[in-house]
Amino acid sequence: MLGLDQVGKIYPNRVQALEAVSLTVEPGAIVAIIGASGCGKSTLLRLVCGLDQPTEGAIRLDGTLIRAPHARIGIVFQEPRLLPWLSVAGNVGFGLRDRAAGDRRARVRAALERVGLADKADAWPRELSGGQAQRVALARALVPRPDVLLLDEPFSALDAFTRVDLQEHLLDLWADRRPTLVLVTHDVDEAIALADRVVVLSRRPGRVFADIVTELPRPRDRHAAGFDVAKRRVLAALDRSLQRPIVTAAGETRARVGAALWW
Amino acid sequence: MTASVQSARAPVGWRGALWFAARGSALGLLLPSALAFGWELLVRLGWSDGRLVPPPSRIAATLMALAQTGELFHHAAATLLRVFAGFALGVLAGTVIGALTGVSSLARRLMDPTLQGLRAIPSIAWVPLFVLWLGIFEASKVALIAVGVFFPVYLGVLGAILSVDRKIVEVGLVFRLSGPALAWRILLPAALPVYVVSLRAGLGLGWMFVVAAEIMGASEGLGYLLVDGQQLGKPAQIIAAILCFAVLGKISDAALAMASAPWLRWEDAFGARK
Repeated sequence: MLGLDQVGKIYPNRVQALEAVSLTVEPGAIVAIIGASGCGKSTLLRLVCGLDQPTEGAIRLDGTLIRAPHARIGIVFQEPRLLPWLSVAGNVGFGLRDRAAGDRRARVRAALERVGLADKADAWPRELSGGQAQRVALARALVPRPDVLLLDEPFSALDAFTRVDLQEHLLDLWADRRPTLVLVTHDVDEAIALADRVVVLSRRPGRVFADIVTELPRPRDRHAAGFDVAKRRVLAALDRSLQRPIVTAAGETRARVGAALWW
Repeated sequence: MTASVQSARAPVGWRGALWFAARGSALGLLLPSALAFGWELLVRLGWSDGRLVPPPSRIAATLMALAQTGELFHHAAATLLRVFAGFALGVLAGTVIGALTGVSSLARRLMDPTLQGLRAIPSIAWVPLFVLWLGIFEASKVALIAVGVFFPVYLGVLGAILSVDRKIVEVGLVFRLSGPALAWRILLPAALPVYVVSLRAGLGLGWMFVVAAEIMGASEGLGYLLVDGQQLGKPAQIIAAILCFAVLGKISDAALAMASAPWLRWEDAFGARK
């Protein structure tokens, strides 16, 4: 179980990015964190993966205090961040350096097959498309078998078709071992399609503004009524978190709700 | 399996580089050979006596004569040895100190101002001091070359490490690399392209300073041939020595570039296009 207890972060330049964020994530759950840009979403993930330390409160994974990168926690960034001097296979195996060479090779091959890039094992990262590179990044993060996988707007740089493909692919990969997924996104559709629970952060300093449990049945139909209802709930919370005036006329309201997508 | 995949790729590695060099140099040779042929013709026709600017045939004859007596090999070997020793020392010191100041901000604040101050001194200014300290023989010459090589290598390593992408470093941190492992697996490969450029710049300066050192007092070496040619009024010998410098400098630079090419095949830069 991943637990955040009254986590706050004040940067050395005295900007308060997060304030008293408390959150408990059950093992195997998929949680999306959504909020206006600059609300501290990415800061939150950096704290959980140990790249930064909270200035207040504590982050624990099954009771272990997290203050530095941990073997049980993996992360996929917005950019693939592949190491350009390693082949695709070398990148995927980067986190397995403690393993015997034979074991490492087998697991890298299996992981690349799993993301459908077995034929690219010997390619350089520069030879991959954006979607392929992000698949490799997913494989690299998953191959050490983390219990928690953090995703920081992982598909936001991809085109719409590739994005939906990769979202489905992520769910498929998740089903293998069901790690906890914490997904930071600004895409409400993505949050609803992937997560069982959507946490809306308020604007700076980031606090938990709303915690919406959706738990739609899987696989999810993006055109189903339930999907739309969940989306409206999240968008409404998002609008309230931005302190937007609620307009009563039906057409106006929809326009306002839609506007939140751009934040 | 890996080998077959690599050999199937576009012309890379030293064989590909050689082939490219051969094809590319044909056009580049046109201008110098036309000039050489034209000058030869002018002297043969008696329009110039070619005393101060000897025609190619006379330079070739001088080179042949020097080669036949074994003098050319002897002088070239002496110069090469000095460049090699000075380059090795300069690269070693520049790499170690550059890496140290690149990784540790304490070391950088401590040492970089002093080194930048020393860098402002024209390296030739050290010669009298080196001669006093190390004598007039090999040690002072090698020291001068090492100083010349040190600064571009030091600056290259320092700059390369400081400019490594923070996002890539974070990948190493997330996989719990630290200290030497982070340096070896992230910083070194990321800094390598700039490092190779600084090595080549350092080698170029090494060749420059070997000439300076040899002109200022040597009994052997290609630089000695220059001075000897000047004092005895033998322009053909001077040009022959200059040609040797050009050839050796070019060969050593190409060898360095070729030796580093296999490590840089991953580069995705404008200059890395084949």
